[in-house]
Amino acid sequence: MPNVPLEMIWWVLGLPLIGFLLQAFLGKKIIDTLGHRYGKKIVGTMAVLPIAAAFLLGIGITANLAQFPPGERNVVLTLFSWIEIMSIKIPFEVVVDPLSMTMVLIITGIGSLIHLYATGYMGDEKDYSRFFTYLNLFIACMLILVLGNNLALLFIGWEGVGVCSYLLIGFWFKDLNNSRAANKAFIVNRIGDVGLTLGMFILVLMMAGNAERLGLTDGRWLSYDVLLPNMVEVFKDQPFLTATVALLLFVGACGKSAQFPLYLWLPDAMAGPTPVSALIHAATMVTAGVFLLNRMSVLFELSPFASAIIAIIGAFTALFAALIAFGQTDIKKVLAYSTVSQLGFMFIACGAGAYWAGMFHVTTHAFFKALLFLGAGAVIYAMAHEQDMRKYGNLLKYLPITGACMLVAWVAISGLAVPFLFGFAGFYSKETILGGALAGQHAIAGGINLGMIAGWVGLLVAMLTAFYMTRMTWMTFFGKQERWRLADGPSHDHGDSHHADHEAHDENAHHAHEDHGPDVHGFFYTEAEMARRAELEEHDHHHDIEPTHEPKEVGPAMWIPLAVLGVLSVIGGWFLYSGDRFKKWLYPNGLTVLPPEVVPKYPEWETLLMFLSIGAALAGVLLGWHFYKKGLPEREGWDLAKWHPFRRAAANQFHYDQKMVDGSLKGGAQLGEMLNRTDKGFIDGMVNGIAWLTGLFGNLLKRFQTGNVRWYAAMMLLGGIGVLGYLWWVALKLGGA
Amino acid sequence: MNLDQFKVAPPSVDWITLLPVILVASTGLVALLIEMFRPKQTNVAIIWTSLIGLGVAAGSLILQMGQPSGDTFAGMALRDPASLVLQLVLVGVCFFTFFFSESYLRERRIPFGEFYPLALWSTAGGMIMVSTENLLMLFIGLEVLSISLYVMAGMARQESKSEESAIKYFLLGAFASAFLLYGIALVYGATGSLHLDQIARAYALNDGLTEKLLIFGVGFMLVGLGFKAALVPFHQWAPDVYQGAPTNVTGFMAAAAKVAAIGALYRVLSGAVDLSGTWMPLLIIIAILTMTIPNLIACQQKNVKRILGYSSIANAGYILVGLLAHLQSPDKIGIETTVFFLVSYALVTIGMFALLTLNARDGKEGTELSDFYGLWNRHPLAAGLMVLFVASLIGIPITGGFFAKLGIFNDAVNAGLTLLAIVLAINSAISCYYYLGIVRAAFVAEETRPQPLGSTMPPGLRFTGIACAVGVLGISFFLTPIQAYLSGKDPNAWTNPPATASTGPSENLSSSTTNPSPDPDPDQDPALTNPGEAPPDQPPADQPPVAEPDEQSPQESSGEAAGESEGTGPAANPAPSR
Amino acid sequence: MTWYLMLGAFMFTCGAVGVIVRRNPVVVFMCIELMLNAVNLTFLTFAAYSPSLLPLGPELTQSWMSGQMMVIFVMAVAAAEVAVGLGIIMAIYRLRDEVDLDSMSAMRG
Repeated sequence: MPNVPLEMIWWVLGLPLIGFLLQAFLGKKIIDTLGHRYGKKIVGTMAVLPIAAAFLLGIGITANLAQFPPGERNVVLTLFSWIEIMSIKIPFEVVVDPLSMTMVLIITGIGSLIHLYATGYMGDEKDYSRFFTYLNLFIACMLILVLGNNLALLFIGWEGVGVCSYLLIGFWFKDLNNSRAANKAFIVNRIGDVGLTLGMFILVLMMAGNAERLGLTDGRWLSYDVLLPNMVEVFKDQPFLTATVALLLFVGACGKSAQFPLYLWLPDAMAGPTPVSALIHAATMVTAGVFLLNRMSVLFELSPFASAIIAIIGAFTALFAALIAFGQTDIKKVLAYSTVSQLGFMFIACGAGAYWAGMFHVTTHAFFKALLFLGAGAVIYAMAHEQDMRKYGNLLKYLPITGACMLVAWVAISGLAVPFLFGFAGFYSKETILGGALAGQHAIAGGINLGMIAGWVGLLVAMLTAFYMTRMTWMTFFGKQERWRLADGPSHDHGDSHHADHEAHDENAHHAHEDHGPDVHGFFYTEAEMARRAELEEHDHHHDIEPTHEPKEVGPAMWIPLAVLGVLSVIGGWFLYSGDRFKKWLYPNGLTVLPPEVVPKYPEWETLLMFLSIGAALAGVLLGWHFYKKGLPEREGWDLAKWHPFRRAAANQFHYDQKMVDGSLKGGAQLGEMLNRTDKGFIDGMVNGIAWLTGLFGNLLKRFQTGNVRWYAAMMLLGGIGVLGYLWWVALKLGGA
Repeated sequence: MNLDQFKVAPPSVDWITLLPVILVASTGLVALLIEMFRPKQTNVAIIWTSLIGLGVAAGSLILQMGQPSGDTFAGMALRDPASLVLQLVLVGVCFFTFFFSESYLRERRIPFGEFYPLALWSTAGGMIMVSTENLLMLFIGLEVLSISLYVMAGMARQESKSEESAIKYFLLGAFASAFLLYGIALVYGATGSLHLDQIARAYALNDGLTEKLLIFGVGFMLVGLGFKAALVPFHQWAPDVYQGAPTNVTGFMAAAAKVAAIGALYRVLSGAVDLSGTWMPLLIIIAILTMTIPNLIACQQKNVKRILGYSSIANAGYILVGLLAHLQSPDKIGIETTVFFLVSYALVTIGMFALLTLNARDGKEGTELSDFYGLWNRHPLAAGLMVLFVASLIGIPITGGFFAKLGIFNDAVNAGLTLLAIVLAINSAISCYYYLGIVRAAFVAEETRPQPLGSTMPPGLRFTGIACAVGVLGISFFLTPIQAYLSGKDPNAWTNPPATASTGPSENLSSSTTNPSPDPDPDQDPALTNPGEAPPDQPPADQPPVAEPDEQSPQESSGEAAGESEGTGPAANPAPSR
Repeated sequence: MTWYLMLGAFMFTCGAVGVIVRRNPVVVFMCIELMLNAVNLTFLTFAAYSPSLLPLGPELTQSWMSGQMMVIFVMAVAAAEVAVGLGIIMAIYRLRDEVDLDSMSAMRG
């Protein structure tokens, strides 16, 4: 491996940006001039190449970094000084350390595979270059997020990926649902941003306040290399403040990483094109929250209370999302909830103090979740954009390569393994998380070891994961029924209920349509606009799959990434785990201040744990097989009324989504009402008064603007006389003195 | 370009200092010649010639940035960081104005190819204004700027509003010029010279009559320059002229004339800084009025151009605050925040007015608020850019406007002008109302209009908008290097293009990086050098803005500069530290 | 010398008042010319009598020269302004057949 100098990191950062600019300014022109066939090929290549080159450079830099002695793998490179205001200095600087490079490799590696895949998947798209413009920009923003050496740059990247995600979710913006989903993602993420911003603000205040005591003269108070080493000293003996800051940052992480109160946007975000779901909503962007927790791990380790909250929220999210996944019939929705659930696992790890296990799961999850999404995309592509699993079945016969890769991913996410010998990617990362959580003594709040509880919940969720993934796999690839050929499709009582799941999920929206009440999703739309868009939507949605449809295997641009990811899903976990490679890579570089005995890797009953987790996975798989081996059960058929009440509830996210949105609407209305009633006299009066006053002055002053030149000249002269008169007065005074 | 060929000129005349102005003015002449012989109905040749000329002028300005400050022609032309940056801003304003002008003029049916040479001369006049301390030059520059603007304002000859604005602007402008001249005459009487640095000498005589002449002279000049910068109470022409003039001219006027007038005001006031006891309270009052009154009126307006006219008056007030803060304590507070504000203001103004040209159709222009309804649907890009520019005007973080306002606020507080700082903050809040009104209009659903507006953005307009947007975000990104350059602390900052590091005189490089002790360059404008007592919020004078490891010894810095010159782009200045 | 200066100040004031009270732009412009000439007179007065108390020495010639130069430039600029101003007034006359300043207040408020 050639030794790539660390300075090349600027190219890693710059290449996607260059790609973005090329796409933005040339992409459309190239397609227009060269025609769709060749133009798209060139544009696609132009999109993939920068990312792939960045990945190769990233490998070289990582190899170079690995040769540093373990304690010194932390290099800060500064490009220029960016902001200097008051005494705060925020340079544009990046940090090259194991954590950031791990993320860089995931982002560019998975990213280039997904770009390659997208060149195939989006082949029929009109706005081809726009799509890749966004994707490249997304990669650039994500790289800024992980590479930036201070929280301000992290924030820039954070917002950048948010914007890109918004643009990509709404890529097919003519579809009302997509626009709604995009808006929802935007709003929910703002809540998280408020937390993050407040947390950063308090951090700056704390650092500035303690600067003199600590002898800090640098002013780079948001830079990790200044912030982190001093964290212990700054937050000494202030458990409450520590917990506050930690939880504020956690709120930010929750928003981006879709944890329980704020997970709402992620499943809806599946409205975007599938490569986007794979890249943004599974492999990279959603891990930003986990990355933040890892980056600021010192802070979280200082607050056991916050850690306990994180662990328990993670556990709850994992369980909740896993349960919801059972009620989903849209293949992408299943995967979306599975993502939320797996992110919950990562938060359990971080809460329990086993940060590296969290990162480990980020890595392996990136492998198999990207694979699952891309595979699902291939299936959807082959099935003429049908996403309902109830219309699938026996697809392995038609899509052998895709099917095989999906099976690998299924085994990997379920966490199957051969005891003592070999395990798939998911097995190792999940086991380390569970081990860390069960044995850890860190996440303790109120005397209860919440980390341990989270660990047990995690074990249960591991079983559920295997269960619902088996459900998905079986419904899609196995069974003799080829259900899209069956006549008993969806009952056509709704306009677009061929999307039966969609219908179940968006029941609220439809009701709202009928009642002409406020639309629960339509934060931004007027009724007329809703109606107009709904019309458009109906036009766009007529791609009902024909009973005679013959699925065909997808092209090489799409299955090559699948194969690569498949290989990674098989051996990636094993490779990184054996000999503690990943842990040794991440650990000695200031990720932690906890003594090793607080977060032991495993409880004493290590072997038992291994069997437990394999057992859980096997149990899940067997249960799934038991239920779905005969094909689609009656209770999950087209008739929702026949569904098990639990599953119906799960399909509606236990009404959480609806309640949240309703609640916030109602709450807002009530609050408004209350304010209106109690403060009518005072606040209203004041606001109106101010408005009236400015209006009065404005109107009064407006009168002076007569439009008459002579009047203007007179005013000027008056002003001049005033100026001179004043100066005369001053001069007289001076003369007198 | 080989700069050495200019170095054979006699030492007393430094042609390079004058080169940008000469280039721009002669480009104007060439453009006029082309205009006479142009092919019918197309201005393409004129535009490209002008753009190339402006580009070369900008290049010659950038190349000068590494060179030491100084003056030539017996002090008539001056080179220092502020003048270079302001000239660059003026050239840039002209450049971008040309990009979106052609499509607009075409839509407005204004067959007026002379616009381009006039704008070029106007730019040249502005460039003279910001780079001289000689009152004669200042006057000439002002008149060259203004006379061209009078003509341009009346460019739409078939339209009574345009002519009305031209005559208003012309009469009041000439009126103001008379005041300025009378002031110059009095100052000349007091000092026997037209050079501003003589004011201090004359003041030092402590003679009653001289002093009175000086005070009145400066007072009259304030009236004249206050008119150009549209300070209250000399502001009333601004909204009318802005509304009536063709939009591209308004944009040019709002940006270029303001930059030039503020630049001149800065020169005059810093020349008369010893008298600051007399005019400071006066200007504080003027600043308060200038910030408040237009903001109040703007809330009642319905025409976007008029709103922006008032907004530009208010912005002049903000700039004045920065200027006053600098003049209140010239040692402590640099001019850099003010110049930064001007840069940010010019970018936003040009971008914003460029967007306003979008609605022009068939000889009419649509600049009422209601004309922008539904912009979001018609031109998502334009609406997005508009949001960005308005965000910068309001001062929302990470746009240039935010850092500009914050810097001025900070300066005002540090200079002890707390009252001004408070008024500035209040006015920022008031201004949100009408700025957001513009954005709101863009997002209101479109009503049916008798004549549908097209949905394409001319490429030049798109380029201008995007370039300004990138600039607005970019300058906040390069905030510190720009300010460091302007404050004269580190000529070695990124603003130095690679070439100057090798061609520039080496003693300048070394004096800034190797000599940490305060060593004001005698050639440099006294206001711009920073003596050792740097305020706490500024980086120490010896430290380049790029954080570098301490062990890197000063001796290496020249070699490092050479290294910098080779690298371009992101890899320009990586310095590892642990 | 004081008389010259006072005459200049008087002319300036007359011009300023004239600008405000007259309604014909041509007359207004003549008033502005009057102001400019007042300035010229002031310049020449100062150049001729040089009241500056500064120890100018060899710069004295330069000092006289600059005042006279200024006058020449002011005259040149005034000529340019006349050209432009009359052009604008002509354009307005063509457009509306009258040039009353008070009728030109379409834009206000």
